[in-house]
Amino acid sequence: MIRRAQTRRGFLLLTVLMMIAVASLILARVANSSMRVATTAMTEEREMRQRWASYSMRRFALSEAPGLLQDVDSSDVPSTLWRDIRLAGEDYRVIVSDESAKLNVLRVAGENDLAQAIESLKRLSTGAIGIRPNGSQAASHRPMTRWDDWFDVDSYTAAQSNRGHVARELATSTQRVTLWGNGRLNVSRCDGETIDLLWNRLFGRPAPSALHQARGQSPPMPWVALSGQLGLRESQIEKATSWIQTDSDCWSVWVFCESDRRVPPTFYVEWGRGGNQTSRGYVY
Amino acid sequence: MGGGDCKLMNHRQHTCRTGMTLFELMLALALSTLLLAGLVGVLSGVSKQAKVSESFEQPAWPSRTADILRNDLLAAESLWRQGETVWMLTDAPPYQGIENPSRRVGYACQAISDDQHALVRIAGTHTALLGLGPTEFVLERIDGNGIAQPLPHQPGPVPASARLLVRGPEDMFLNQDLLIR
Repeated sequence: MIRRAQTRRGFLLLTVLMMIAVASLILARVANSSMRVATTAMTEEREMRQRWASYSMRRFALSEAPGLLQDVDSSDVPSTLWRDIRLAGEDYRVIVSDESAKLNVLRVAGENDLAQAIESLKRLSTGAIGIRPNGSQAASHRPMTRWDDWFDVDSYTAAQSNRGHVARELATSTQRVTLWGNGRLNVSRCDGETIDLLWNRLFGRPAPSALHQARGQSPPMPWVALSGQLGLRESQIEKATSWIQTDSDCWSVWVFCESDRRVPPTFYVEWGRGGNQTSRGYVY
Repeated sequence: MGGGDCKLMNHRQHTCRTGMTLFELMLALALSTLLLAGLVGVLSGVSKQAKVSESFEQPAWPSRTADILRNDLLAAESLWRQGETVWMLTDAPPYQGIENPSRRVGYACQAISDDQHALVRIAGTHTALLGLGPTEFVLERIDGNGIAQPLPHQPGPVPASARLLVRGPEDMFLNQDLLIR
């Protein structure tokens, strides 16, 4: 009798303990899934905020690029503006560039040959990242329309173990060369070495002093007037006109998040006017 | 009193300590019922909460897919729809370290078995699995009035924004507008 009564009391305690254990397990599952949901929501909110910040800076920089770059001294790095901005709680570095003031190596490769384009790239690029000797996709006849095709990004990524470093190095390396735009060089904003390199490719001699003097003039001298001062024959003027201009219609912006290196760097470029405007964006 | 009476008394006292009156028994039963009812209530509440919180959990692949598609569209030169596949010519950097010589990239839902479909990204000869379950992939351009329009059947310009729908027979995996340009 005594044993039976003790067993009944134990049964009730055991039942209560089991129910508490089950409740604890379910609560632990709820806590776990709630944490996952909260973490996902926070991550998505942060990514959305960073995308919005990047988009805002891109739109502002590209629409205001001519005004922003107007006062930049073109004697050092041509038509490139570096600025640090704090937005949405993060620190960003924005690099705005006039891509028309850079030599278009894609056009050099298309109209001359790939070797000349690579030679020009070697002369004008200024970073530590290596250049592919023959271009990565030349054999497959694919247009080399992104920097990964020209620079040895894979080796650099392997050494740095971070694609963010690659983007920073690309931004530094490509301050005098471009792949986008109409292929013509804005001689009023580019640097002296780029003009000499292009003129030498076109006519086999250094650029005339009148062309160097035209650099940095504000407002820029119209090409029709400038070409008349260069002592060129009609056929030479025609050739030069297909490669040279004195205004810009191609702008780019790099956006780096300095406070959070997990945010991928982005590069945007926009060119053309009116209905012919085109753009590209790259997330690294 | 003799020794036998004393033993009987001790035995009675012991029996009295272990027994319960009817009132005590009913009170104990009532308290146990209350406790059990409370615990059952807590358990059912917690179980309901678990179902609610699990319903908020989404698989990771839809947001990853939206990111990959956004990157492809940002670097795209043209965009069109051919059958059930959305094609684009893009310069996006290689995806997942795959050296992809092809600029032509497609997104489509394909049947991988009789009752299983998957969303895939086709780049040249390489097909990457993005997610299991979806049976329909729809990408529409958003016009100047904010209205979704179907993509052209020939290569056309990349719109400034697009609407993305990825759905299965019962689930809606993705329904969002992508800001491209």
